[in-house]
Amino acid sequence: MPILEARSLTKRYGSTPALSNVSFAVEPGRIVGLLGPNGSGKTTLIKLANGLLQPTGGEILIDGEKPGARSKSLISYLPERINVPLWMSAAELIKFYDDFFADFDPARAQEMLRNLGIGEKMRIKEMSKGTREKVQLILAMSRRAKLYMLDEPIGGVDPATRDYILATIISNYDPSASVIISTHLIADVESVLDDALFISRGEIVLYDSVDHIRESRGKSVDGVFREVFRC
Amino acid sequence: MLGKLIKHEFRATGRMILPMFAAVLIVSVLARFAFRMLDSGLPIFLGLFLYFIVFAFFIGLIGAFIYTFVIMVVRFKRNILSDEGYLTMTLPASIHSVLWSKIIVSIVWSAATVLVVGLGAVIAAFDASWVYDILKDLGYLAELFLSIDNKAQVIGWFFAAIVYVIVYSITYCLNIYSCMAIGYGFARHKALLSGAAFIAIGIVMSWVSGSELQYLAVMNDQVPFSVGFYQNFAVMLGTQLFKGAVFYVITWLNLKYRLNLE
Repeated sequence: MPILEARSLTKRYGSTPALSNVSFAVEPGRIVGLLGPNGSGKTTLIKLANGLLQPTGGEILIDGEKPGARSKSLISYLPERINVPLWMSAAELIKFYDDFFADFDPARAQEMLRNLGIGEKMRIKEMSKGTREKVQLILAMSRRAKLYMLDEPIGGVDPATRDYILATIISNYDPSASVIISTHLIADVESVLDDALFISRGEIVLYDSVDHIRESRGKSVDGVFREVFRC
Repeated sequence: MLGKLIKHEFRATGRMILPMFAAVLIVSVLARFAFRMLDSGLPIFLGLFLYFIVFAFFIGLIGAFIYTFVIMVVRFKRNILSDEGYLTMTLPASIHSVLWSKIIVSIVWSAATVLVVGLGAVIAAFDASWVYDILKDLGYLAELFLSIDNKAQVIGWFFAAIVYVIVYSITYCLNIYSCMAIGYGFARHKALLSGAAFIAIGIVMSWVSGSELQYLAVMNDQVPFSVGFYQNFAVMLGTQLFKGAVFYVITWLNLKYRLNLE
């Protein structure tokens, strides 16, 4: 059974379409790049999977079920915004996650904080933007979730941190779990992807394995992206 | 999951409300001394300082209620309708649980505020001679109660009043939440539209309250209060439950179908 499946999924904001009749399935154990320019519908798709938005038409299923309390226990979601309470310390956040998510591994989170030199007693509001993003990523990747949905995890950080984040993603997810990484920085993530899902103006324009894309088109995924989304 | 949500709700709000409670009690103790010293011919600067303490005491008593109300509103906005909503609304909990955790904690803090303000007033104004008067009054009340034939009825009235206050408080809380849930479902002018929703809902609900009062007036003309108490109570409680249910459904529908975090 696919861990994530969209069936004729449509989302409109008023009369503006964000997603139009989108259908696809993500099998367990895959790392999928959700690739598209700004405003293409990537975040809308992720919000729909997390139950933060409701579809206008069609449906989205997580492990065969519509978004709800159970699906939220299966998905580890990293939004593009800082979503943790700023008054909490990293240690308090670890307790918070441990309390709510049965699959959360506090020891793993503490180890990653130590590796990055982030003090557990430091409050989120005292941290720089980059450090806050790292803490959020650590919390998301310290869950043993079935599906990780990472919305622009490398968007606002320096190249060295990007490398660390990607290494963290690769080294921390369970091989039977799936990872969906939304980004427009293709070159940085290409090496870790199994599949690429190109989305443009709310429609899927390409969904294939990265190896097949390279073979059939004779270009890197980044090259194909630049070709498909040429202005 | 509701228990965990309530626990974290208390932690998040308690760190702001408990210091306020402490401040109210400290100012009450200071005001107690200020009240006693005001008439003792002190130098003008010290007199002004004492008047300032007394002023702060009265402002504190009123401000405590406003502060608790503001915390309730800000917490709902920040934790559900702003960036923190990305976390709150993706916890493995239903919207019902999230909503009830906020309602329950708001009601508890409101009740605690009443108690702390009452305690502050007692601290500031308490006199040892009151002990005798209070004991005398309590004795009088006990005698009065024992002389009543239908004690069960009086106890029933007392509990009915408590139930009504609780339901009324929940309804009021939901009224605020529903307006915010409507306003924040729009792309722009969210706070302004929340205010507009409050006014619009207030107009509709004043019609419901008007009908309730009209019905009660007609009923009380026909039946004496002691006989018709539970009829009055049923109408008043029913009206509050109806309003609360409407506000709850509005809030839930808007959080589920219209919420679009930026």
